[in-house]
Amino acid sequence: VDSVFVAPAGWSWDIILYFFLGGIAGGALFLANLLRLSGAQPTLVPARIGYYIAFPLVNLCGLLLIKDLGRPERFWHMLLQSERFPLPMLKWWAPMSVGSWVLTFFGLAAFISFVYALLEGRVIRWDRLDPLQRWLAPLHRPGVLGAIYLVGGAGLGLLMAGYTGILLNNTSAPTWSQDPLLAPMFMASGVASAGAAMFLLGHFAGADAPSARHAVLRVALVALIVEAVLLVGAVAMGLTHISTSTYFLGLWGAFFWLIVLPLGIAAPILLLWTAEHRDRLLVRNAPVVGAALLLIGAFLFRTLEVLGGQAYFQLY
Amino acid sequence: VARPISSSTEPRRRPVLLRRSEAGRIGIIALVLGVVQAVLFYDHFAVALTLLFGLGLGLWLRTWEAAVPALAAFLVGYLLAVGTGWLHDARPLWEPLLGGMLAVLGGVVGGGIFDVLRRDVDATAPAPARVDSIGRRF
Repeated sequence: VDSVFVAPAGWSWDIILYFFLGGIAGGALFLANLLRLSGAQPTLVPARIGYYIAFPLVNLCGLLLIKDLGRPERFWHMLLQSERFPLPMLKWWAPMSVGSWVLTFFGLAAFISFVYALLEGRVIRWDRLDPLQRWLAPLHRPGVLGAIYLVGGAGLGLLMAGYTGILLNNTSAPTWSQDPLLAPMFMASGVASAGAAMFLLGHFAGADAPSARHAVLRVALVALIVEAVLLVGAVAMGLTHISTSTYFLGLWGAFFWLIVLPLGIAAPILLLWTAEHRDRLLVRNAPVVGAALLLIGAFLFRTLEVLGGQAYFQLY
Repeated sequence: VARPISSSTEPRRRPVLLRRSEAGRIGIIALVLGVVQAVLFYDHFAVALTLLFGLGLGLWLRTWEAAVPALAAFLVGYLLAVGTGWLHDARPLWEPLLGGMLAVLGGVVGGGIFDVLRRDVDATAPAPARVDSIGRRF
């Protein structure tokens, strides 16, 4: 540990917001595609809500990444070779390069489903686009073509939510490089926060089919429990290198144990579990409060990982 | 209890910003947000924060027009910050350009989702459980 002299990445709020919104976008496409695969009629609206948020959010993600670059006008260098334009720039061994392509293909899939959702929900009512809707429909319902597209899109959603964890884990920072559970935790957190966001939007929009909405929330709860179990593993592994573990690192350790864990993970699990599975509301509007806490917790967790993960440098 | 943003039996709400009674309140909030941004404008934090403000305003106002006060809040904050000497480590072109874009997009995305849901034929239809056998809402 004494030999650590790696400078921190210098990532700040742009990256925290990118991780947070990218997780929701990825999780939303993942959940929406799974709902579509189920083929159940009441799940159509929650699935469309997922499509409605995935594409706009991935656009915000792209803008945040561009802004984070020292030379924003060169953002396209991440995808295309500037010396041999327009050959693609792909370094399969570099998570950042692979992530750029994941973001691109995810954006494409999210765009296709976004357009289809607008047409299916008749948000856009233009007769000339009817053939497009007919053409896209088989991709969004159970069937061979639909299964391939929806499973592929769901996989891209999980990658979108989780590749950032792989990216962190592959850096030289002692905090991140010793935490192999970051990627699955980010995936689980992305799915959970997306489920919470879809539930809250459906709830406040007064969308019908509350049973489907609550089914989405229950999936979010399962994802949050998975995240919590992974977090227990990560904390246990952190015990072997306490001086460089984000979960025990000075004030960031206190932030994790006193705020993130109780308010962002334990409280939503308790509130949602009792409301959804025990039919008991611990507080008024427990599902709404639980979903909101889940979202806040996901943001705080990204803040902890990004800022706390770079705090090791202050100790040397 | 869920608060419907509209239903097929109610007249469509006018866009929020066109209602004079709310314009002043929204303007004051935009100004406060702008000052908060100026106070925090010591590094890139505030420009990222402007996206959160935009999203928050959008989710609160529930219309894409939240982009207007979001942009106003960003401009107020940015100009105050520049006026009080915050210039170090700032890219003169990219910071205001991308910051403004994030503010606008935050408002558009945060509020626009409700505009989309208002127009979605199924998402805002009266819930079946609230309609009696001859279609009256209760």
